[in-house]
Amino acid sequence: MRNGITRRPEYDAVIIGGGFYGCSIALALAPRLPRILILEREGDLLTRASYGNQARVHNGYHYPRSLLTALSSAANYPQFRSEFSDCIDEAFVHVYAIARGSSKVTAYQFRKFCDRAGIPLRKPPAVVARLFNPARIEEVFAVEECAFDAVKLRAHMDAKIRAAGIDLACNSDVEQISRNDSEAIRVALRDGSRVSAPFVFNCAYSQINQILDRSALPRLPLKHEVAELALIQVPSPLQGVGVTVMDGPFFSTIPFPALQLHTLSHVTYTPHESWSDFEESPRRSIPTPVSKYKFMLKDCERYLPCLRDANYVKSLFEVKTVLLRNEVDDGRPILYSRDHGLPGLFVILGAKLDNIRDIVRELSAEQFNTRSLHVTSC
Amino acid sequence: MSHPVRATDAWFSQAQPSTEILVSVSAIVPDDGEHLESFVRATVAALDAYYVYYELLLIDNGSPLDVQWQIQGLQRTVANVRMVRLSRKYSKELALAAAFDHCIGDYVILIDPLIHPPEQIPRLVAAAATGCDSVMALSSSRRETILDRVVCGPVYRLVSSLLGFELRPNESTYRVFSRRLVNSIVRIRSKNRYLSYLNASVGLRQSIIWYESNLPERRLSSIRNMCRQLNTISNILVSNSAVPLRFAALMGVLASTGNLLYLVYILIVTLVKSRIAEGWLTLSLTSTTMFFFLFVILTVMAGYVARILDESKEQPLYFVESETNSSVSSTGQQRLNVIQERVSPTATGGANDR
Repeated sequence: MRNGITRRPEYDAVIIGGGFYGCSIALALAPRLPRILILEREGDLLTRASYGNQARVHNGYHYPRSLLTALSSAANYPQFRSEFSDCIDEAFVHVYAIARGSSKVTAYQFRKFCDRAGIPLRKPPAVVARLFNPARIEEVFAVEECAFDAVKLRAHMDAKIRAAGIDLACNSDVEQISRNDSEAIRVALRDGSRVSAPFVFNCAYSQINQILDRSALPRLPLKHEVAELALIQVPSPLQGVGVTVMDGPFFSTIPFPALQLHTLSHVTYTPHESWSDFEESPRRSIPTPVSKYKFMLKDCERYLPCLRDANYVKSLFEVKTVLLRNEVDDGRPILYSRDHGLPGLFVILGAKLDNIRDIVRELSAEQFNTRSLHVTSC
Repeated sequence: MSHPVRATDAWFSQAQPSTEILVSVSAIVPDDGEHLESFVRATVAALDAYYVYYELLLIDNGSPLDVQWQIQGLQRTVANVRMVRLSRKYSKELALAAAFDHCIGDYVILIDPLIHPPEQIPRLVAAAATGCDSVMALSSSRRETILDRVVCGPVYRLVSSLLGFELRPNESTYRVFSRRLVNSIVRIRSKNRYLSYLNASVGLRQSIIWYESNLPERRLSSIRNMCRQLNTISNILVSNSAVPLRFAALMGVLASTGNLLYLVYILIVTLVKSRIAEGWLTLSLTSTTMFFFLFVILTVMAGYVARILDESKEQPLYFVESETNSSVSSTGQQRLNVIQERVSPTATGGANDR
């Protein structure tokens, strides 16, 4: 059942997208809807945006200009850490460095912010603090923020899905969603096969609008961006150290446990091309851009001179999707649209992995009545 | 000391663009956006032919909004163009400081969009790659006027000898700087900045290349240019050197000594001459004593102000060019971690000295 749909033509719910959000939603629904199918375009679960990202589990430090976002991250952090304890890497020192001059917060403001958000700040080890260029870095703080291992997370989700009896069809590219005669929703795949269910969840992240567009359903106001994540081998002083430089056009390099490397992302150079498919028709394929790793490293060297000795390995390119209204701020809310153009069609645009509880809670308030096919909210 | 470098085509004739280095070109955006687009396109074309990694950093020094929009429009079609917009119009030297702070390249080239041809960038970088930290590009159309030779030259030589390093009139801002030099310059945070002074004060290896150009490099008449040069050098001297203040202190010492001598003269006249005008003694004594104290106080204060000037400059004490180490081990023979204890045979023999 891992390749192509053969067994059942009908399900209680079909989830389009086997990313972290799609899988988590399937697991959250499993107790109430016994027959669930996940359709994944790639050959395995969690291979796209759930894999090619910074692997940071947010504890709120990243949002000194939005206390609410920080508080919600800090509230979700312990839960995510305990739930996915087997996928978590905490064996590194994570430091936040506040840049001088062009940073939007000062070290004093950052300390005050952490105080208000109730997240701990400690003095960093002297060997780590010494790595920074004092002319460009005002102060360095050690924080409590871990990273997750994307490969272990995949195995974790896969095991849970099997245990919950959820069907998974990989290499299944959804072509169209349409209304069935029996008031169920029919999902047509590219290979010609079909499956229908009263409830369909479109969790295809950057592909959401493409599927909606092909189904002649209203598109969402989304903005896409090709994001480059450079994978580097850091020099020995940075082994076991994660660094985030705040708050402005800076960078962060934190361990990527799945490959035993560090990711390097830079506010200026990570975003490549960006576009919106709200008003124009969605793009089917995006050519891989030329890497900007050299720019990233050269800029980072000015703050962290030892990065001069870093070795570039490769880059991960992934399409990052945000709501148009959030393109300028740090707010990354989960978009949740119920009965989107069709009764029983849900569209969910995931955001940060550690916010998963928010959408699970939201779904737990819904009542899925398979017989009447109408969704009522509590 | 600077010395001209002979640039040969072999330096920069490359079969394919270099992936080794990242080149930053930085320009202050002129208020008039007329030639901006052609400049941006020509610069990016010149860079694209030689380097894979490069950036054009435009410093928008409070230029009109339409120029800003023009740049943002260009950014949508031309790659690797960055703009840093300053909050208001600052002096050219401060805008250059912003350029140094924001550029990321291994080599940083400053260029004036209105007068410098971007085609020379690869030659400048090639010259810097031979080990020079600063290379200045000068136009062959540059002519030294009589005023330059008679007035500016001697004044610059005098100031150079007072400051202790060489400054020349009519220096071009068309220069390449190595990352090492840029890192040193950005550590100097004084507000009265003069690039030629900063460059000279850090030192390192400097050189010059010449290029053929029909463009007039100067836009000013020779008298106005001379006035500007003299103004610059006097500002550099006052901002960075306590020599004028020390000179004033020396004058104070001389004046107070003169007053002291005059005081002695008054006393001698009073003793020797029998007829002196009434009140002359009192007036003379009062004014000489007062002036004596006044000049002594001014001299002392000038001394302190000179020290405050030296101390208040936010400048590192020194810059390091490089550090090298021995490449051989300290001793030829291997040392073993064994302690040999020698015991004298007489002590173990049990013989009694007595």
